[in-house]
Amino acid sequence: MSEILLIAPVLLPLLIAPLVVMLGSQRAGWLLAVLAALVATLASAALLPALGEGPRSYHFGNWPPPFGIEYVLDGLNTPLLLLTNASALLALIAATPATLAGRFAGREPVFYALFLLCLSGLSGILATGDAFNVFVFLEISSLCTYGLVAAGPRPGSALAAFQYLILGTLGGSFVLLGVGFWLQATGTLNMADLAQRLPQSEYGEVALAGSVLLLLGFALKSASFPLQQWLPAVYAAAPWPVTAFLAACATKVAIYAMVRLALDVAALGEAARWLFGLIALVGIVWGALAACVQRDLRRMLAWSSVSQLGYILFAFSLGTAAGVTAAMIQFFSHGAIKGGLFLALGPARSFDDLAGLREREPWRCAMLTLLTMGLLGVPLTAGFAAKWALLSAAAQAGHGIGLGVVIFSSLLAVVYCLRLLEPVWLRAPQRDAPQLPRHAMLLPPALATLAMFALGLTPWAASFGRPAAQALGWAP
Amino acid sequence: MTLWASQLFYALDGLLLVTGLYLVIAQDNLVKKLLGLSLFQVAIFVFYLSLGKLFPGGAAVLLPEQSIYSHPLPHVLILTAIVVGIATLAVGLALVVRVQEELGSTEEDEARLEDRRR
Repeated sequence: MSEILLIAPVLLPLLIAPLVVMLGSQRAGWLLAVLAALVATLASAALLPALGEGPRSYHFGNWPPPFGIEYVLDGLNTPLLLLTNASALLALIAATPATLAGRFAGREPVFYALFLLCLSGLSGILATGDAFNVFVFLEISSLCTYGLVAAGPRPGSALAAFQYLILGTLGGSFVLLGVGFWLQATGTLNMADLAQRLPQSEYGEVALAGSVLLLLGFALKSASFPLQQWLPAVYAAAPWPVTAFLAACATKVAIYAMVRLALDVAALGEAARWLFGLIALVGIVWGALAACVQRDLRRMLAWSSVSQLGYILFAFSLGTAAGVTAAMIQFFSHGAIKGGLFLALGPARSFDDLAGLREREPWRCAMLTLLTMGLLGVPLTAGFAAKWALLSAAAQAGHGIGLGVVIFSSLLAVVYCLRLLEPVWLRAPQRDAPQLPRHAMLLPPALATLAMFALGLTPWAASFGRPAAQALGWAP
Repeated sequence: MTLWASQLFYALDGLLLVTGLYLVIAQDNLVKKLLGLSLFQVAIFVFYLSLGKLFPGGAAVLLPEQSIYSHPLPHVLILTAIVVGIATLAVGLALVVRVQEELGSTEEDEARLEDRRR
């Protein structure tokens, strides 16, 4: 039974996706997709209690590694598996056929199938212990993302999806090439085996070139500075449940891959951590500054994501157990807050769409306000817990510049968060505001808001810090 | 195969790679961009295949006259990558059709201008 749990989060959405298309009905398709995401979420939650017992692996076809493909679930990727599946669940609940309203003319099942395949791909990147498998799952999730983004309501959605396809495929190809260099240098694709053989390889330069190519590919997919330009365009173009899903977990999975491959498998150590710290700190300031001057609501939140994702990378770059704990809290905190914000915003695209929300929809207004407080890092919210952990980890590591940058970017966050709240609270309502079915509107962002407070008030996310640091070999 | 020949091979493959990348960056037409992208990917596939080849090794089939074999794994890997590449090309072309339908052009600049205008 427990063996099946290890592969269920990846295989279940993969197997249900064609079923959704074959059923052909939008209602049944939606229900099946939500059920698949629910079971996958429960399966990944069931993996958490045994986290302290070290990594568990599943050997496909009983082929022992390094010959066969194995899935390895340890302290670093198991919590992220839960985050990914839970985000997909909330986004799918919001994406009812009524929400998607007329955009697809009877092809809604294909939308749900793409969504499930994308989820399966992201879970696969997290779970797999095989370097080539990472590339395959990366492409599965990317190809589905292009389709989902192109399903957006704007006339330019297809163009945005195309531009993302070009960049995403270049990133994926760099990953493929990097894996090839690693294969050339060591003759193996299994990550645990690579971790042993890469440092001893006779072809050290080939191995290093492979690591650099892999980093480049995943830096692009994770929208790390300076490769973040695609992110705002994609977030603005996609249907809103898709934006919520991508904002909650997609870039975080790419950050996980960067950390896993560079710091764990290739063990690049000091040099890679220095580079991570540099691109993270520049990205934190750049993203926050860009968010302050955006005219488009979603682009503003996308740039805020660039800044917030920088926190995660910076936390890992500290190379300490406290840093990993801060990163784990920020993974969950930002997932709940940014995913929740996009769910609460719904189809709203511009600041004008939010005008007078206080009178029109008081519940939505309350959730938006609370989630924005979380983004700001107000005490009692997850945002505060994440920032506190990050600041204390940076102080422990004696990283003065990092401390200053995080505090400075928090001040900039006040500017863009107030820009979001101003139309909600102070402007008069407009007549042609977009309307939505209420249950789809309220339940998912309400759950995200609750999760944000739960994360802020309990040490649940922080408890993953130690197992994750052990997985990276940074804690005994 | 001698060293200079394999170096010539890698140089040509590298040329193919950067030609593809150049087309992706420099071409304004979306279909030509996709062709450049495919060229870029094919260069990577050829590189992979070269990893497995051993001279004078043959195919990895047990034959009485053969004792050195080429590594079959890269071929299997690249079979997967080729499928991914074809799927990417298909999705890309489908998106180009959508761009043409909605923005009235397959030139990136014109389509982008049209998108801003709306």
